[in-house]
Amino acid sequence: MTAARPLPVDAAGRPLFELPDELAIDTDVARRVIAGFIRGQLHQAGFERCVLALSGGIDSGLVAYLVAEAIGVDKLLCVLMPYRTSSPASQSDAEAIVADLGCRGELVEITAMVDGYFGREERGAGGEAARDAAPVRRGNFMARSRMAVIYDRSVTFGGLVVGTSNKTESLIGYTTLYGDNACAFNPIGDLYKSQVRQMAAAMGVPTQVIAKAPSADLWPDQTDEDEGSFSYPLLDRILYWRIDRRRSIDELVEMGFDRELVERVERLVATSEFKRQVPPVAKLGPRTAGVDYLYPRRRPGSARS
Amino acid sequence: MEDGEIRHVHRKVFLPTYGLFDERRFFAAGDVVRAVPSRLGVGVGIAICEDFWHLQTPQLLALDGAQILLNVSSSPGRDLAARNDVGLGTATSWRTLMRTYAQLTTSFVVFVNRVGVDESVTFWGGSEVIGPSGEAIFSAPFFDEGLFLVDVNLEDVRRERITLPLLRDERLELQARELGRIIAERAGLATDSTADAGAEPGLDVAPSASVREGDGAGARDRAGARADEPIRLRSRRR
Repeated sequence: MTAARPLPVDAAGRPLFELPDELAIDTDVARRVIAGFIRGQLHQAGFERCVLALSGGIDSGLVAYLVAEAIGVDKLLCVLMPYRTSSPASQSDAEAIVADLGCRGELVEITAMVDGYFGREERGAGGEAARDAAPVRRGNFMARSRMAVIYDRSVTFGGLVVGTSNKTESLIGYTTLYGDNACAFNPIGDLYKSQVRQMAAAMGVPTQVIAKAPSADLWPDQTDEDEGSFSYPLLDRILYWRIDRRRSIDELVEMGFDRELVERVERLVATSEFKRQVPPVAKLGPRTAGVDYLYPRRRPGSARS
Repeated sequence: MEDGEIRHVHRKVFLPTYGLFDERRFFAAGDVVRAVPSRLGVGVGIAICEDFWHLQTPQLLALDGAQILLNVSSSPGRDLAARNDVGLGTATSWRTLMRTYAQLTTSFVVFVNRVGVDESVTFWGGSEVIGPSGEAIFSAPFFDEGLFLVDVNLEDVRRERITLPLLRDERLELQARELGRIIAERAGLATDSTADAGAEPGLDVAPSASVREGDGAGARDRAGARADEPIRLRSRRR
């Protein structure tokens, strides 16, 4: 049995985050597996470098440390892409990560791109009505603008885009399709938020990044837990028992979880299934990609077979 | 292989097609489990990965004369929970199985597992040699590639089998008889004498709670026949 490491604490001696027992992982094993995964993905695609959209939050922060450990800081480019309403703390935290790692960092403001579409004083490319666009439309557009920038930087830097979505947000669909979830590969997509925190602490991600309330930072003062009215440790536990351990809703209720919350999580997972899958193709020919033309990505004739 | 000659070919008998595995979709299974003599003077039983997730494989090999059971595996690491023995659920399971097989067959078990990464999955290594008493003689590191030579004392097999004559005491005729009955019952060719009321022939999973808790009448409706009657598949098809 691996000795459990004590959780990191703040100045007052309180733990920085809550880690449910059943979600605790062996972080040494996880680091080992993830580092091998990152190197394997790069090798088979014929790349040596990575680019990463660094928000200043814990997910992309952790991925930066994982990539740096796997391939070295000189092969990592972190791109900071604030919008004019982004929290200044996000940018300073991202800068702290770049400084701590000693990797390359670039700042690309997406304000002109986003305002160019929705308009500001002037009418934008999205038309007159776009000026009144709801926050969710603007948030999605920001996420997709960042995607466009990071894929452009992927060409200039010659690196693969590393994904930074965690398992929790993927399962409940708290993600923008072709936005923040777009990537060449994702090292943390099978880690719940609580496990991301555990890993981040083990890898030395700056304390203020681990401790702050998770936020998509798509509008001022947005936080994940307010927006969804849940707490991550609780949500993670429900998802873990329901999905990884195949417990029924009734069994979860017997375990003490609130039925209404469990059923809400169930609906979130079910209605976001499309976000986790490749779009279906209408089956017409004898063999169809994704249906009955099935090859591993690493196959004879691929970049590195 | 021995002295440059192929002595035996084992084709994987159990092809996992569940969870993250798709083998039976793309491959056909072998149909033979045999121990093979070796110049070491002991029988060797070769199996591949999933073959050893079925009790019958190590048992048949040992009964057929194997004193060294050799399993070559590509085990994808998963279930990275801290509560697990070595931080990895898969490794914990395999380590338990190999020790158990060694003890129950009073044989050496050599577990050889792949290392490296293929797409999403990571193979965890951790190859082992387990002695006939179930104790690990050698354990390779996790995740690291390596060539390891392990000396074993083959006399340990004889000693263990005198101390613990399990193989001598196996009841093969009993096993064959009961297997014959179970096979016939599963095929619906005989009344399933041990099934829950309402179970359908060939049902090899536990009935759901609704069937278990349902009254006798409901169970009969489901099966379309009284539980104590053999179900005639042929007449149902008409």
